[in-house]
Amino acid sequence: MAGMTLLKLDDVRREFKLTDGSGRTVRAVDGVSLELAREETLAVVGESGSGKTTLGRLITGLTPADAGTVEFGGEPVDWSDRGQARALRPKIQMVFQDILGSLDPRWTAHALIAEPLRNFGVRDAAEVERRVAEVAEEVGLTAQHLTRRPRELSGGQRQRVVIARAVVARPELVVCDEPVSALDVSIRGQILELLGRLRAAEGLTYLVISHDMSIVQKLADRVATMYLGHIVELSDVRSFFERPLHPYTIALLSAVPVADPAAERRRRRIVLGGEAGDASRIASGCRFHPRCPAAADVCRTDPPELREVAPGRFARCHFAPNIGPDLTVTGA
Amino acid sequence: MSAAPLLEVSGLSTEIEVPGGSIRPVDDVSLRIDRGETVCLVGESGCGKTILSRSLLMALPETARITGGAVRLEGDDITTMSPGALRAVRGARVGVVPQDPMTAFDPLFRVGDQIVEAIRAHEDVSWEAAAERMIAALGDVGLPDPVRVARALPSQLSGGMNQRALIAMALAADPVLLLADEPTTALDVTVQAQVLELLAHVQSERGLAVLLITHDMGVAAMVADRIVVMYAGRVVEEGPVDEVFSAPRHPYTAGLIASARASLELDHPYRWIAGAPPDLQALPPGCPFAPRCEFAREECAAGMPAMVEHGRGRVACVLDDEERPWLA
Repeated sequence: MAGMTLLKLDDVRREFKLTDGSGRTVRAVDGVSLELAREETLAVVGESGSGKTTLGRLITGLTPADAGTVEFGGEPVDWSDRGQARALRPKIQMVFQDILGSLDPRWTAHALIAEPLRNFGVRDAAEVERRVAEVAEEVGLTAQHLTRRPRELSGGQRQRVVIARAVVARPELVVCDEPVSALDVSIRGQILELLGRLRAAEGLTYLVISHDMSIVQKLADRVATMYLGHIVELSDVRSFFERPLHPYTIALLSAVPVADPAAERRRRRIVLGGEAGDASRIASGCRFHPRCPAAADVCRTDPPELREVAPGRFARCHFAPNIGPDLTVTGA
Repeated sequence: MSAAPLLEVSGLSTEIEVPGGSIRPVDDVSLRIDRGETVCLVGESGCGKTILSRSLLMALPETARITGGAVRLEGDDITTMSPGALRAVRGARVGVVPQDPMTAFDPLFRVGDQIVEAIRAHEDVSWEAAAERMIAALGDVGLPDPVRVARALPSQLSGGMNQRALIAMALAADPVLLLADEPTTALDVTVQAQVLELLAHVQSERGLAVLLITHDMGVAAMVADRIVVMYAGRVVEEGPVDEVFSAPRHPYTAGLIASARASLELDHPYRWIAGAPPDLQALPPGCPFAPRCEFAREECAAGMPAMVEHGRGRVACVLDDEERPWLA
């Protein structure tokens, strides 16, 4: 039922050892808690090294967590329990960003779309045929497309095959990792529209991982911003774009160029210094403070908590919600 | 601004051999870049942007050749130059900023040494003199600790730092033109903002001309003085940035701008251009955009529309302004 919690993460963590012999570890996901309601779309945004891809892999069981709990449909998830993993696999699907790499080049589109059904135990050939035809039509692939191999399809058509594979076995949750970032702007619109249509037709819940604000804009109900393994802001999509709370989110949105030269000249762009870098050298206090133009002494010493700073809106910043669009602290 | 353009491309065509024939990813392209000007070349993948930029330096794959036209840099035709003369153009008069900063340097050599070698490839200077210039160049692009960066291997630097170092290398021989093919596509958006700011800074500081190739209309709006739009190997529209964005004349340009804008407006519905760019081996007769164009009529399929001048721009489209509803 819509509105009921489908996915719940509580203080989930995952570290990786660096392979450079330094013995240091990267805290890729460092204590993430969030809930996702049925038929809701949560976007996770952030730049390289933010941990957003690892978070998606933890949820889909591709990477085990070191600590914390994940519940799906009210049940605790343990991917190492093979019986439970077998039962969960069809319900939680993933759309990958590397389209060519995730499709076997020797298979036709038809075989690629039918494969998950067979893997998940649909033995009746007529049932497989019926469902493949239904999903192909939903994603906009013709009978002719279904006879082709990945290299004989365009980028947009291949992405349709990837999406068809993810939804064919009627999942409940689809984790989409950069589903349109490799596509041109005109194809991107078509795929975003398709994802929106499928969500309604199949009653899907999405977790969308992206650095691309256009996809967030078009698909998300809520947005989580990640920075070096932490969620630093969690907001509904309208508030996220209209009045972002965390200095990082404010800077991130101001860095996205808009297709209007006059607006570009008027705009106050906040150009952050440096880069997030790797999560193996995390600053004391607030992790964002070395790049934050609003950083004060407290930010260098005390790590802020993710707290509710406005109804339903959370930010991990000592000064939120009193940060202006130019990153000055306003009347606190 | 001098009357002779810095770079003048006229009627350039490049063909590539493919199984079963040849394609022409650059088809009768003409454009000019003036001193101190930033021109953005825009279009979707496969429209010919990258083959055009490689044609400008005669740096084409073996299966490709230029079949017509000329590329004049300060009056010298690059297409007829000897290999020795070409070496003096590439990396010296024309600096190149590559697409993927993490793979552009040789991973086995220190960044500073590679820049020194690049300087010495074009100028007869001692290693020490070149090294001094290299350190200064790294400082000029805003790298905080040039000596440390110079000693680092590319893998020890972030994407943004590598891209700054590559820009330093491209600038080290004091070029007149900088060619940048999607220089920020592989970077995070906050780092993209830094690199674009740096490019704008060095451009105004040195009076450099920049040809920036991008698929991102937002990036083009941010940095361009002039926009050149390519489709299926042809220039379909060209003009000053404000005119092209406020009153695009080609339906393809209008579609690119509308989909880029709609993608960032909260209450805007989805917008996109139907269909996909054509297969260059099976181009439709006439205007290559006609099969995707909602305004196409019989004459569009009959022949390639002539380039029509209007104001300071030009467009290859048969419509009149009254027939362009997006201008209303």
